Amino acid sequence: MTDAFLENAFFRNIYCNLASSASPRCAGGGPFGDGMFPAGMEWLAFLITAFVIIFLVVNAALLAVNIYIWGERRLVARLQARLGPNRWGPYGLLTPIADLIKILTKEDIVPAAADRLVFNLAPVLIVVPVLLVFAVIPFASSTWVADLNVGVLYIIAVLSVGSYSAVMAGWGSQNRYAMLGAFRAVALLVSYELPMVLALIGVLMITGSMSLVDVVHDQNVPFALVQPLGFLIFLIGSVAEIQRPPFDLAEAESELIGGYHTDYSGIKWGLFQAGEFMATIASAAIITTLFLSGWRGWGFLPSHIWFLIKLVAVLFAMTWLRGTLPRLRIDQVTAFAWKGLLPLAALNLVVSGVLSFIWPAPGVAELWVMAIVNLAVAAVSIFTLGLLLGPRPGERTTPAGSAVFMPAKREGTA
Amino acid sequence: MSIEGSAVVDVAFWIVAVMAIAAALLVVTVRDVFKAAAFLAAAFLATAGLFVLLRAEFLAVVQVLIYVGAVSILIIFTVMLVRNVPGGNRTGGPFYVFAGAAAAVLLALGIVYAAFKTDWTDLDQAAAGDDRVAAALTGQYQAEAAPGDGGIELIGGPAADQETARQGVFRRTANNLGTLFIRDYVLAFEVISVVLLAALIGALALARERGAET
Repeated sequence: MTDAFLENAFFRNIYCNLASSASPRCAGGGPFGDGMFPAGMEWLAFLITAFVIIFLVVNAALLAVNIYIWGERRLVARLQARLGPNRWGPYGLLTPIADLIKILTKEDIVPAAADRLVFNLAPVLIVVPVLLVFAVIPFASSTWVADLNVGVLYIIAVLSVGSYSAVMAGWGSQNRYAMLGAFRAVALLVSYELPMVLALIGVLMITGSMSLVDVVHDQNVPFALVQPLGFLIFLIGSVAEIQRPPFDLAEAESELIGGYHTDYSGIKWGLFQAGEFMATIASAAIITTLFLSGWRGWGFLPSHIWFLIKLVAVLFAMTWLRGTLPRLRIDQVTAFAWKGLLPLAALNLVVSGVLSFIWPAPGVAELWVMAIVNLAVAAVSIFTLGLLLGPRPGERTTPAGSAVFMPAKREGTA
Repeated sequence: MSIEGSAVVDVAFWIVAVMAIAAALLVVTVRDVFKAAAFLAAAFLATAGLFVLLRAEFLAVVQVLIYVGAVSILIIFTVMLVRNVPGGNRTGGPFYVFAGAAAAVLLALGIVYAAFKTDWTDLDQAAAGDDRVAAALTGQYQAEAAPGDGGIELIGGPAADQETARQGVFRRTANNLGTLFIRDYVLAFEVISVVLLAALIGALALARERGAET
């Protein structure tokens, strides 16, 4: 179980070049003949292989973040009829590097009133959980670091740890705006985690396994079609959980300056930015794996290209959301989660439960039937909920949040 | 030889165990309540690490999801709403000290008793040749994978070797727990669900402001 990642040929080659050919994973030695270490030293080979893999994953994630930041800035600029960064390198491709140099050379300021330990730990804590998510995602037909039997739950659990970063940043700064941002972050997390997990159960009931490798393997029809309601809820929930626009009210610059990272500068601020964009990529990868049939596609392209295409499509959709929708208010956001998404998720759970009770192990035909039923249910329920929750004609919504979440209401603002 | 029996696991165990105990000590010694709550979360995380080393991945993940991701974060949320946190809280009188010490000693005695009472089975030894244990694991799997059972995958067939049996137990801890919940212990499970629902509604009723509209 713990050394299951050696089933990947690339990882196995690294390991078997080090470990003795007597070890059970490396019958016949590595590609360069016998391993370097004598028998009994497999643990060292294991450790070195693990570090190599961690190095690869971390650097791939950082590189992806840099490319994605460039892409998002260009795309949002296009959506808002601007040009975007285009000075440094072809199409501005080297802008992230210039940004990084700028961030690294900036002065690192810690406020005098700050709780230094908490303040300095917060930027680290935003990056670590996101990197942990990449461990269980199958990027191609045989490429994953760990095939956990509780993979889906693991992702939810690890992502929920990320909110500690916001809380610690808000508390450590000893600053009202940062604290308000932290409150909003926790409120968002608590509100949106529940519908997200409920939406996932529909997928798990079809696959009968929480391993992401199995989920992709069983996904003969993309679950975005079989579970349209679950897909929408999970997509909205992910955007809210990583606090991207239109749910970025934990760092709403027009109300809270920068939210929980108001007081950060230099590389610590850079870690917050990298963590947020990395979380976006991780969420897109999760959605791709769970709902868009992961690395599967038609034969004319290799599996990792298929994964990349779907990943970029999800990222495009998320950036589109960011460039189009205005920021919501905290009371709108929490009300939407509890009154809108939670009942929909519960309905989805019941319908999926009945359907998987009828077809315990669905084939392709049954999956299509499920897709049609679920699409009808989704359309009717979303329409009904919109009628129930939406504003009446001519109604003007007023903030109903408590004073904790809302900055003092100014007179004269529309 | 797999990685499980090697020194890597021992080293990992000591790192996690020392982390858990240090964090637990800091929870009660640190005066800043916010930091105490954060250390509580760290202690929960370390406990999850212990579960992983025991190859109970499901328990580990649920520990992180519920205790770290929900319970601790709500504690921290509450702490942040309180003013003057770094000043520390008032210490209670001698009654609280004695009552707390008595509760701690009783709990420790209970845990030690349970630890000695438990019939620990070394699963690596089982794989290495304790036929009795391997047979027990295999047999359990054959029983659970009886025909007409619906949904449970056949892991250990009649010819299953010891390694398969050993792997099988740990591959699907979540499925086994689920089966136990909705088959063997369904009554307890349902009762707990109703109790939790009652607690939820009770909390809502208590938190509701009197005279508030809706």
